[in-house]
Amino acid sequence: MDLKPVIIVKDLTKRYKGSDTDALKGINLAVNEGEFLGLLGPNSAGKTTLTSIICGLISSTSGNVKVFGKDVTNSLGHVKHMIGLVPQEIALYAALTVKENILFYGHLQGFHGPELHRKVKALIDIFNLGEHASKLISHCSGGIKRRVNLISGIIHNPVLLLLDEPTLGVDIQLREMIFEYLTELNKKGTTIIYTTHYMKEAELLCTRVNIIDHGVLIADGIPANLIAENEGCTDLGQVFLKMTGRDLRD
Amino acid sequence: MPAVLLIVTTLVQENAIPTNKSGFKIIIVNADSSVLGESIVNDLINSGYLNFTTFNTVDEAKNAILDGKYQLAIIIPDSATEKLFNLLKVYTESDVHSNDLFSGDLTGIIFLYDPGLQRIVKNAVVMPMKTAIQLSAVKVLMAQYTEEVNKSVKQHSSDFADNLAKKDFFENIPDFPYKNEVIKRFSEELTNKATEGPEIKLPVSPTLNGDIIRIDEETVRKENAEYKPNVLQNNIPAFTLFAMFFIVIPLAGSIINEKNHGTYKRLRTLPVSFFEIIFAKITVYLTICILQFIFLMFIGVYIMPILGESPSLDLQIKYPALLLALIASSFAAIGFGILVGIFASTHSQAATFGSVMVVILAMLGGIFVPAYLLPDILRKISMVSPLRWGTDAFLGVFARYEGIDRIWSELCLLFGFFGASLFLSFKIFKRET
Repeated sequence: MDLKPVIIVKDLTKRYKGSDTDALKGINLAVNEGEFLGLLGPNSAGKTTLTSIICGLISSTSGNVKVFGKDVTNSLGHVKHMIGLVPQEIALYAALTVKENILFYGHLQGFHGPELHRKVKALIDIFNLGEHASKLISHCSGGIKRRVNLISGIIHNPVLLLLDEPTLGVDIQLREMIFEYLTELNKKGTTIIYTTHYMKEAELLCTRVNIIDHGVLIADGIPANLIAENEGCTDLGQVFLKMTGRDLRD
Repeated sequence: MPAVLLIVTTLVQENAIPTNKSGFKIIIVNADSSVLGESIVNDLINSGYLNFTTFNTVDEAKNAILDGKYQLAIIIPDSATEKLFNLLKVYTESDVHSNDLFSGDLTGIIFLYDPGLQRIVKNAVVMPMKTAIQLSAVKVLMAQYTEEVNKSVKQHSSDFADNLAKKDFFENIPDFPYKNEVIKRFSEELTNKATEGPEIKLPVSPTLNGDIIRIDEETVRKENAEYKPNVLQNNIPAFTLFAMFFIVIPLAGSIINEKNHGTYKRLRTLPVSFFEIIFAKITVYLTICILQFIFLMFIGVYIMPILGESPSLDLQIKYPALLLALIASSFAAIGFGILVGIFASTHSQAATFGSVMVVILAMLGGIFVPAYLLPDILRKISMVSPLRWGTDAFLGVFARYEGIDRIWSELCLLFGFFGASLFLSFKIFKRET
């Protein structure tokens, strides 16, 4: 079956102002419809720069990125409603409650009235936030904030979902819950790009992984194949270390 | 920033009282073609403590004050000298010579005030000028009296001498040694005195108990305007504007929060534009500015009269002009807040820079000390302070009861500042991304 490409990245480079090295050095990448892509790499490898360019948050220095066939520099606005971003930071308003934050982002995604409230209630129930719905975000625990952060990025049922370390600092129970939910979403057709430092997560969840280091894409493949192709490696963590080395990064 | 604050504060405080180095300018219209007008003009100008300029007509003076270029005008009427000298006539024709005679129909000099002139500044300037004018008039009056009387004495001194010689003052004096010689000498002395004429001076001193010039005070107003500016008309709008600009701190803080906590990143991935996000902020903060303004007006109208002896804030003003001045000032404050928020990286940066800048801009803008009192260099810098434009617009509305036609230039500058701030914010934002 021919899968439609959701993201096409061609010869992408990025150099930040004041820097004398490229953060991305000619990345070529394609993400197909329905894929669960793990984007892996050490710190400062270029993962966040790549996802930021895909989302239209920053511009590239050269190269081309198309999302749903639209150039991100010119016409990303037409497909923004199809994209969901769950940033690593808790991107919520501390002065609003759990429910108000979700309502706010739902409203900005174009939902109103009873439909919006129905969606918010459903997600609050799924993520077991009912008793915390009226709490101010500033008074919530890290786990609750992570859940609300995730909900705020998926309330509009995005076709493409980008997650930047969504399980950072959460306990095993919540991690399992997030895995189940994301797997379910992916099965329903959502294309997911998942950035993480936990190799086990990538091995478990992702249908394909890309490893980036020093702004270069150094590996692309199905986790099991990458493990098999690298002699002496029994898991993705070993593959990762073999390819990126043991030197500490910034 | 603290260094700038120190310099500006010191320069502003040093010039809190008008001097000839400040921008406080006074017009003199001298319609009197005689000595009194000339003497007052010369005495005031030669005093050297304020800036005086002479104008030809009262209308010119009024227009210059309404334009805000001058703060005060002294109008010397055309019959000033004649009326002053009439006092002498009354004085000399009276049997009783006392200072009370000068309380008759006095020469009236008019002080015309800028409606936006602060009371404390007015008092500091007007009292010395009133004294100078009275002294000038006394000087003219005494000179005239002395001249007239002495002229008269000189004209009639020969008659005095003749009459004196004819009159036998010494007929009833009893005999004493050398009587004839003494009488002869005494008679010669009297005759000589009468011939020379005595030096006669007005029996009043420059420190008269009463005034010999009546000084009427008026506030310049447009034709048919009926209002009485009070201190609240200056202070309430000025400090409301000052408070309005402190919105910079929470507004910049909210932008920094969004930048640092990832909410802004997420907002930008949503199907909303940069301008929709900014517009939402503008709407919220504009509402806050308007509510704050209404609250402070309420204090001016209802609370201030209870707290002190000050009258109520007069709201018989032109409301379209007020509304536009309020919106334009709010927009300028919001634009500044957005710029600080985009520019700063941390809360402490925004709070320090924002608050110190607002205080500096307020000092330059004439919130604490009127802009015309600032030293020349600060006065020039103040021309680019949005608080100066806001103060001028609000003073126009509240103190001068002006309409949009008189404050449109300030409104344009405030809206222009808002536009420029947004444009610059957008450019900085684009550069950072």
